[in-house]
Amino acid sequence: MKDGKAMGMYAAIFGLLAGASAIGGGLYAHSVQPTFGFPWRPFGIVWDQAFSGVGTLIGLGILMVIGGLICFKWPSVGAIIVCVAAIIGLVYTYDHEWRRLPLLYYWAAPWILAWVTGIFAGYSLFQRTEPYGAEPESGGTDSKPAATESA
Amino acid sequence: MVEMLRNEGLKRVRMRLITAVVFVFTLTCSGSFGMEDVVSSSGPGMTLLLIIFLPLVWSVPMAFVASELGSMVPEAGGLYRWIRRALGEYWSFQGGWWWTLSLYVDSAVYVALALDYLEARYGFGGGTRAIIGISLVAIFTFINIRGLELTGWSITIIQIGVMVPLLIFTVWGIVEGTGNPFSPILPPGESVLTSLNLGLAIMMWMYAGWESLSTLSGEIENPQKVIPKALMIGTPLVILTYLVTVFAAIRVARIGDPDGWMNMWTGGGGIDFVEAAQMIGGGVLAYLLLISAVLSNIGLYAGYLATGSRPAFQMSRDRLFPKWYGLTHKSWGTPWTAILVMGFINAALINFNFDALITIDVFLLMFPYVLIYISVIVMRVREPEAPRPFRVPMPTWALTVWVAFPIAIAIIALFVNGIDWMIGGLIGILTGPIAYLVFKSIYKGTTDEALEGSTLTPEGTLTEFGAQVEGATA
Repeated sequence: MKDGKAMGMYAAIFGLLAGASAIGGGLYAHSVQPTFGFPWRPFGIVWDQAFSGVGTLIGLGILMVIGGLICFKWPSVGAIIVCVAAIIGLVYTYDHEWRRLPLLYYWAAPWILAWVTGIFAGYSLFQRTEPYGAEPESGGTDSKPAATESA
Repeated sequence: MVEMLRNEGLKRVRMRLITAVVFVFTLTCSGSFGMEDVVSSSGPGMTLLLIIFLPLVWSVPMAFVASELGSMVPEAGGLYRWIRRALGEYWSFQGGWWWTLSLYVDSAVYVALALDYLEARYGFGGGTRAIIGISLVAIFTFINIRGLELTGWSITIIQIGVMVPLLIFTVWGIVEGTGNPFSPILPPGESVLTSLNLGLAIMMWMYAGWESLSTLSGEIENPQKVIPKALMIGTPLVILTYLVTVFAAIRVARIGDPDGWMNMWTGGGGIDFVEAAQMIGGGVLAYLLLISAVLSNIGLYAGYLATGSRPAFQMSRDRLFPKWYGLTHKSWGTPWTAILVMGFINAALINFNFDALITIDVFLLMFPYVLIYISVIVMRVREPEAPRPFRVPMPTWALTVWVAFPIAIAIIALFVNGIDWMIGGLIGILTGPIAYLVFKSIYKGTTDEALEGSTLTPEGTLTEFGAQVEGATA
C-alpha cells in the first residue's frame, strides 16, 4: 500500500496555490477598484471592509494558505479547510447578486485549485487507509466478511 | 415470484417489462408539463426541433450507455457502482454523492410543484399545504419501503392518470388548433444561441433521468436484460410524447392569436397545458389536465424517491457512509432507512423557499453524467472481453465520438445556464471532496474484492453472487 505522501504533497501545493490565487486576485481587485465588492451583512451587521469583495478574497485566501500548509502534515484536514474557504467565498459571491459575475471571475481560480486540492487529498487518504477486506499488514484490521444487516 | 438473494438483504422482485418501461417513462418524462417555458423562450420551431434532435446527442447516448453499463454491472446503486469499477472509489463516491445531493433536492421540488398546482386552483393556506405535502411524502415513503412491486403498481396507475387526459388534449388540440407549430423557428430578434439560454437547460432537464432505473438493479430479477429493453422502448416513447403534446399545445395557443405561443409559460398568467385545455375543452378538460399535472409531479416524486435513495444505501454498504444507512427491512427487503431519510428531508424541504437550492441540482447532475460517459469508455478499453448482455452496437472509437457530444453539451450547459445556477453548483461540487474525506476517514471503505453485492471480480469473472444473479435469470 502506498503511503499517500506524494498525493498529500500535491494537495498541499494546490492548496497553497488556491490561497495565493485568492490573495493575488484580492490585491489586483484592490489595485484596480479599491471599493470592489460591497460589505457583507451577515446577521444584519455591516462588517465593513473585512467582508468586502477584496477583504473576503484576501481573508479566505490566507485561510487557504493555512489549509495548504496543514496539508503537508494532515492532507485531509488541510484540504477540508481549503475547500470550506472556497465554499464561503462562493456563498459570498452568490449573496452579492449584482456583482456575482465579476466576483466569480476572481473566485474561479481558487475554486478550481481548491477542488484539485480536495481530489489529491482524497487520493492521499485512499492510499493511506486500510479498507475493510484488505489483507492486514500490521494486524488488528477487521477483515471478516460483511454480515447482512436487517431491521 | 420473489426470492431472497441473501448477500445484500435486498429482495429481488420480478419486474415485468411493461412496469420497467413505466418506470423509465416516469423518471424521464411523466408528461410534458414544463415544456411551455421552452416554447416562449426558444421559439416554437426550435422547441420542436430540440425535442426531435437533442435526444440524439443527449438522452439517447445516456440510454445506450446506461444499458451497456447496467448489463455489465447489474448491481445495486447502479451508476455509483459503474463509476467505481471504471474509475475507482474516489470518483464513484463523488458521482454517488453529487447524484444523491441533487436528487434529494430535486424530488422535494416535485412535491412542491404538485402542491403549487393544487394551491393555485383551491387557494389553501400554508398549514393545509404542509399537511397535504407531508401526507404525500409519508404515503410514498411507505409505498417505497413496502417494496418495488407496490411502487411499480402505484406509478403505473399514476401514469394512466397522467397520460389519458394528456392524450385527449393532444388529439383535441391538433384538430381544434391552428397554424404551423414549426413557425417561427426562433422568437423575433433572437439568435440561435440566445434563444437556447433557458430552453436548453429545461430541455436537458426534461430529457434527463435515463440512468436512474439502474440504481434499482439490486432489487430486480434479470436487471441486465429488463433494464436495457425498457430503456430502448422508453426512449422513442418519451420523444413521441413530448413531440405530439407540445405540437398540440402550440396549435392551441395560436387560436385567435398567431403569436399566442409567446405567452406560453408555467407559473400563472400564461398559457400552460391547463390553460390550453381550458381554451378548447372548457372547465372539464382543464380540470382533467390539472389532475394530470398534479399526478405527473407525484409520479416523478414516487420514482425519484425509489431511485434517489439507492446509491447512498450502496455507499453505506461499501463503508463510505453511515452504517445505519445500509439497513434493509427484514420482511420487505428494501433499504428502508435510506428511503426514510430521503422522505424526511423531502418533507422538511417542501415548504422551504429553495429557489437557490433548485439551481444546484441540474448542475450537480452534469458531473455524474460526465463520469458515466468516461466510465463506459474506460470499461471498453480496460475490459473489452467482460460479459455485456447489451452492448452499444458500435466500436469503441465511434462510441467515444458519440459520447463526446453529451459531454460537450454538459460542459457548455455549465456556463450558459445562468450565473446563480453555476455558483450553486460549484458549491455543491466542493462538498464532494469534503464528504469523501470525512466519511472515508471514519468508515474506511472496502476493497474491490470485498464489495458486497458485486457481480464481477476485479478480474472480470462472475462472483458467486454474480452467478446467483445469472442463475436467477435463467
